[in-house]
Parts: sequence; structure tokens; C-alpha cells
Amino acid sequence: MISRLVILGINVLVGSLLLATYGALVGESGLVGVAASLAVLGGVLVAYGGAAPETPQSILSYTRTLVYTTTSTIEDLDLLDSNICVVRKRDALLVVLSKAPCPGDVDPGIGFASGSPYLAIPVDTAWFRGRELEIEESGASEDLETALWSLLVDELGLCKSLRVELEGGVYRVRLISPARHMVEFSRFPVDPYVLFTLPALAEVTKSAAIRLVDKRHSLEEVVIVAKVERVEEGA
Amino acid sequence: MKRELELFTTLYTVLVILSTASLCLLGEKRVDLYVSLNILAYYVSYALVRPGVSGVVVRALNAFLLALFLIIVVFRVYEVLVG
Repeated sequence: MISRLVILGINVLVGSLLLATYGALVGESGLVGVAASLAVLGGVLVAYGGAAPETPQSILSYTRTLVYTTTSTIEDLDLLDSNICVVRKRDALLVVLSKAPCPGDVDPGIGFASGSPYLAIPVDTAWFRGRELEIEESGASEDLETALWSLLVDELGLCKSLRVELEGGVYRVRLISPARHMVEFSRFPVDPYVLFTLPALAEVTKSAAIRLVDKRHSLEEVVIVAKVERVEEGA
Repeated sequence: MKRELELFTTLYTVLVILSTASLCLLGEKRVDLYVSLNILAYYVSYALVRPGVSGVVVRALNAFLLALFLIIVVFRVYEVLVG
């Protein structure tokens, strides 16, 4: 459901009702016609706003394929209790699962860096392109919230709303009312909420590396705590 | 919001505003004309930009609007034939 579209539709419906009442009272059938037309418009907006899926099908398919294919690899590499961080490699972003805190010398796929095997998943940055995700150097949490909202709520439909708190370089992203289809994948080692939120955070803050500090799941919200990290160079 | 849906709602709203404003400025009094042009605008927008939203609600809406349009047309034809 796209709540903004539903609310807009309801407002149009209420407006049309008032206009129709006024038109009927003054005996102006032209106004009633305009009101009827607006009522149809409002009804269409409500119907489409209510019927639109929470998460686009392409995102669900991408997530499904990714979590199913990576889970056994992660188990084989003994990375179930690994650190998760996002590393910027040239223009690409890599989600890296490794026992090392945040290895920098990584390439997409499986490898060995900083004394630990790693799995680096490249993130398609096409979702970020064409979006105004530039924020001030100070990184005010309101700007950050707006930028993340545009991507995680409006585009990816991961949740219905979100809050960002910034405390001493630690970002606490609260994804409120997570999409139920996506929550099902949270039990896998590659959690889609981490997979999408950390790269978005890295892109918005223009960080070279961001490490997942903590994550909590409940039916009401998903809390992701992340910190900007220094990258460990070399192995 | 999905881009197709965004484009669809924008196109449909613009077409509705244009058709309704035109009819209003022409001093049109027939309510069914406003509604039928609105429904036409909906189907034109739907055909040009597939919004990519399906489901029972959208199918029911499509059926309802088509039925409403047919009722209006049949009523008008009946009026012409009888009158």
C-alpha cells in the first residue's frame, strides 16, 4: 500500500463530496459533474494506492535469489557469525562478510583478506543513480532521513517509515513497519534489510566503509546500528 | 512509488483536469459526460502507461468503470432512439 496515494485519493473524494453537495444545493449541475469526475479520480487513486505492492516484485526476486544462493556458501566458509560491512571499491559498493572487522583489499566473490575468508557481494548501485542523495558534510540526521526514505521506503518498499539517529558517528536506522514479505528473509545470514540499508547509508554519507554494529528485529521495526569504519588495507 | 505508477497517476490526473476544465469552461451541464470523459482518460492512461499494479481491487475497478461507461453510452443511445 502506498499510504500517500491513498490519503490523496481520500482527500479528493472528500473534496468532491463537498463540491457535489454545494452544486446540488445551488442547483448547478455543472458543478455536480465536476464533482463526479473528481470522485472517480479519487476512487482510482485510492484503489491504486491500496493495491500497489509494498515491495516491488523485482526486489523480492533479487532478494530471494541472493539469500538462497549465498547461504550455503556462507556456511561452508564458516561466516555465520561474521562481521558485515560495506566497502567502497572504486565506484562499486561491496557488502563484505568476514571474520575481520572491515577488510579493504577485497574483490567481488569469495577470497581471503586480513587473515579471514570473506564473501563480498556487489550491490547494484543503479538504485542510487538519479537520486538526490547528496547531504551536507555535517550529516544532519534529517537530511539523512530524507535521503534514506527516498530509497528504502519510496523505491524499495522495505518499510512504511524510518527514523535515523546519529550519535557520535554511530547511525541508528529504525525501519518502522517492515514489509512482511521481506521480513521472511531476515532469518538468512544475508539479511536484506542489512543488504539494502548499509549500502544506502554508505552512499548517502559518502563513506569508504560502514560496519554493522548491531541489528534487532521485531514485528514492529527493524533496528540497524552501523558505524563508519576505517578500512583495513592489506592482508 | 514505482515509476510506472507515478507516470500513470500523473498522466491520468492531467487528462482529467484538462477534460473537466474544458467541459466546465464550455458550460456543459450533463454529469454523465464528465464521468464518461474521465473514464476514457483512465483507459487512455492505462493503455499508454501500464502501471504494473494488479490484484482484485484493480480488476474490480476496471470492470466497474467499463460497466459504468457502457451504462452511460447505452442510456444515451436509448435516449436518442426514444427521443
